[in-house]
Amino acid sequence: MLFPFSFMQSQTAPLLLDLYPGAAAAYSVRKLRTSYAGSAIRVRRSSDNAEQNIGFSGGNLDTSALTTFCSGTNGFVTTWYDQSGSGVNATQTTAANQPQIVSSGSVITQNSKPILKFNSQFFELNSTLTPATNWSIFGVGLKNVPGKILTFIGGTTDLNSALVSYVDNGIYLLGSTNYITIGDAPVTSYRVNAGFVISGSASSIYRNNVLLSTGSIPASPAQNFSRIGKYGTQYDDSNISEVVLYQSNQLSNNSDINTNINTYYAIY
Amino acid sequence: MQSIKGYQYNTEQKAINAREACDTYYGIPVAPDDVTQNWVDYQFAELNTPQFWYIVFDESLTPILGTPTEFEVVTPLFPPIV
Repeated sequence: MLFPFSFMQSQTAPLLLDLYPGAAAAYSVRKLRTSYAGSAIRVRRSSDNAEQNIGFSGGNLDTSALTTFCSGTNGFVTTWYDQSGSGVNATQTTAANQPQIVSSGSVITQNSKPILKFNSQFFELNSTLTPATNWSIFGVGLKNVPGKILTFIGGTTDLNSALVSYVDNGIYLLGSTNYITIGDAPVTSYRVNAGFVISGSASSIYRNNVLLSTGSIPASPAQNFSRIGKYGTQYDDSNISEVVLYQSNQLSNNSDINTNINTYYAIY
Repeated sequence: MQSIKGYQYNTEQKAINAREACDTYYGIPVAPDDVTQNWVDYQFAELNTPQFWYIVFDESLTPILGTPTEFEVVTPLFPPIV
């Protein structure tokens, strides 16, 4: 669905990372931390390939600034800024690989919230995140078509790549040589609020705040987290609105974080 | 194995040259501080024998790279879902 102008209600503090601080990286179409003073995204417009940073308005992506800049054309995200304070921005330097956010002057949305549309597009993190003993990963996305994937975070190789990814018939949560998989219905028909906790033998996969599977992920896998929207040679066909990573075990906050996300995105 | 529509090169330098031709055609980068540095990028068919480099087709590439071809790229298997 496309909306030509700003329509969203303001977010009020405290925001997600005010309540649950300490994220190693955080990307979103909403403001996640009250003290974050940077932009949300940097956008390239198709009319002349010029770029501009787009910030927030009322805690939401400033869609008015976005549509004004794109002015009836398409807009593609070159940078998804890290709001955690770590400076791990997600960037794409190749035009053909930049996810789309504006189509013919209208912001692309789902449930009235902006989405980044990945169709063989992806981001590289400007510094890789080495999976340590404990990781917690939260995401909002939709896998669009069979045969493609939804990757909240991935590594550079196909196998033994640290990643969190939805495929046709299930979900991968991989460390280095060990992984958890869980069979699941195709997620093309509903949005996913995913929560993943990597913590050795007590690693777990949640979808829409429901525990789906537990298993063992070894500490300190060899592969780093380095991409959003792709792992190895596997490309997404997905919509992603938010990815938040903690280098800590957030199991005690898992339900509250998922609820906070769902309150904004109205997924389940 | 995945069927790809695009442009195939037997050396990396030829793929680099094709990428640069697209950048020149579209005037990328527009400004010195732009994030966008290339119009399109090439990929490496690492698992094919012989290995090669390729650019995936997009309509915007036709004026520069011409008519695309179809070829097979070997892709690894997913681990099994259990």
